[in-house]
Amino acid sequence: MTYMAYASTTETDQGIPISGVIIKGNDIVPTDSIRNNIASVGFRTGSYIQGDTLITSKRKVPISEALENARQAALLSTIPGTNVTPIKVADVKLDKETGILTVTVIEDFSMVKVK
Amino acid sequence: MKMSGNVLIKVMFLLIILILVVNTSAATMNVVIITDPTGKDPNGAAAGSMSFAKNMLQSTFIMSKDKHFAVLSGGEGNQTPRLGAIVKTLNLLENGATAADAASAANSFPGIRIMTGGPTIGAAVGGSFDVYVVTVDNSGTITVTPASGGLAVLPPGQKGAIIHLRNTQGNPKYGTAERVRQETAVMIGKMIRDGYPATDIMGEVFKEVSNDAGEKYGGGAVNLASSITTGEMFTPPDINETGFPMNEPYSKVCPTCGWSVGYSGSENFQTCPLDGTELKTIYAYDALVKSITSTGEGISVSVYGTDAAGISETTREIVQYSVKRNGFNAAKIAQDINSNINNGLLVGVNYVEAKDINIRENSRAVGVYYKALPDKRTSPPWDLPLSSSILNIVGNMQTALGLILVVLVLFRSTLLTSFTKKRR
Repeated sequence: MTYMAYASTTETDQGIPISGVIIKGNDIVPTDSIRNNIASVGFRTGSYIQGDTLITSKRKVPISEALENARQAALLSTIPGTNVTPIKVADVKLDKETGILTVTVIEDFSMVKVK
Repeated sequence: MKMSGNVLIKVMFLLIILILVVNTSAATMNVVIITDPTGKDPNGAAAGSMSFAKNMLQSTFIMSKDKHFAVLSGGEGNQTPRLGAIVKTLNLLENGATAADAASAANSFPGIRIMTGGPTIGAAVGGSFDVYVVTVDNSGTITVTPASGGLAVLPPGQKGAIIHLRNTQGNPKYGTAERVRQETAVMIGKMIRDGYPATDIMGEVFKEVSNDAGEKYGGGAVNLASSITTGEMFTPPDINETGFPMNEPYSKVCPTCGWSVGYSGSENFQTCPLDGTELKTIYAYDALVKSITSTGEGISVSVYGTDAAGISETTREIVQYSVKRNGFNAAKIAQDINSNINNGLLVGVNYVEAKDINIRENSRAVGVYYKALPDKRTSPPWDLPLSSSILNIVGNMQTALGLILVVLVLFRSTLLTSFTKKRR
């Protein structure tokens, strides 16, 4: 009986899971490099949102701080095998209902500095 | 005495420069092939890089998804001049420069080679190189012209290819580059004349160069017309390592049911575990062609809302099957996806409705918006006529009754005696 109750319920006490990351606007930088960077700051499968906190397998971070981390991580994405970081503007939006994070980036090669 | 000392220093200096130049430009095969300069054929233009050297990471075959061009270079580590040349070329191409203008940017960086090209912009190579420029005109005449250093161009609107090939120091097949470069160029010309698509020719080039010239480590290739890349399929797993050898087996696949397994695990499999058919060995150059070829009836399926392993691949199969049977029908696609959630093929996602399926029929693209299930659940919630809270209460009552029964059973003698005592 209790299992039936569990199986038919739609809500849990865990909050909203991070269900996916959508990346837009990138042309030269591969989507996977940006996705890996975003995942490393906590927006990955297994993380979830509880109120205003993002809970990952490693730590708990306030959502606002997590989003700023994600923005920084997107800016640090490189062309694989180089230290060239062409992403100059990044914008992150989190839909707290569905758990989908949308990352929009703009690349600009005229401002890239080669060290 | 003083004079000869000066001369010695000058000679030494010259030698050092020579060594530097030779080191930075020694390696690599770069090739751009254009078989349809109008850009209409989805497999009509391709580019690829491969080398005996280390560090053939994705930066050696950069592709622009939106503007349909590629920038190829050698994989000489994280060196400033090469990166400078790449960034300058990318910037020029992003701002609409021709392939020739963009590639000539390499000439301002010593010892660097940049090859670039796209279906409609032609192809060009600049800097330090040894190439053959292949052109095929509409009457089928093949022209193969050697060029080295400066700038070599395949003009826009022209069917043809540019292939650069040099041997890397330490390659056991050192010294073969000259001959293989020419043979491969002639082969490319013949294949373009015979009407093969650029992606197929790319596979043959990788096969011939890896086998005959030993410049065999990926690298990778891109389909410039459809913006598909081999990505990290063949690139080195770490810095200062070589990539996948392109003339070795990459996977084994069952020709009837499609079951496949990658090397090196596949050495243990001779027959398909599902239907017993003998497995076919897929070499890396075949895998490359397969992964960059765009098939006409293919449908690009994007999956949103879940990153769980296997969901996007399985969804692609289901959508392709559904479209083949019923055409682009959101309700039918949703129905097929839901039936596969029911039979456990798709795990960890909730049922979809027709409004969760986004169809763009003219570009043959389908987007599926999933909702992941909470709490690491594998199947969607049951749809019962009673609400889950009532079930919970009933469940709790059941537990309480059960506990009372247990108490009654355990203390039955005590209870019975106290009961009979009271009666007396």
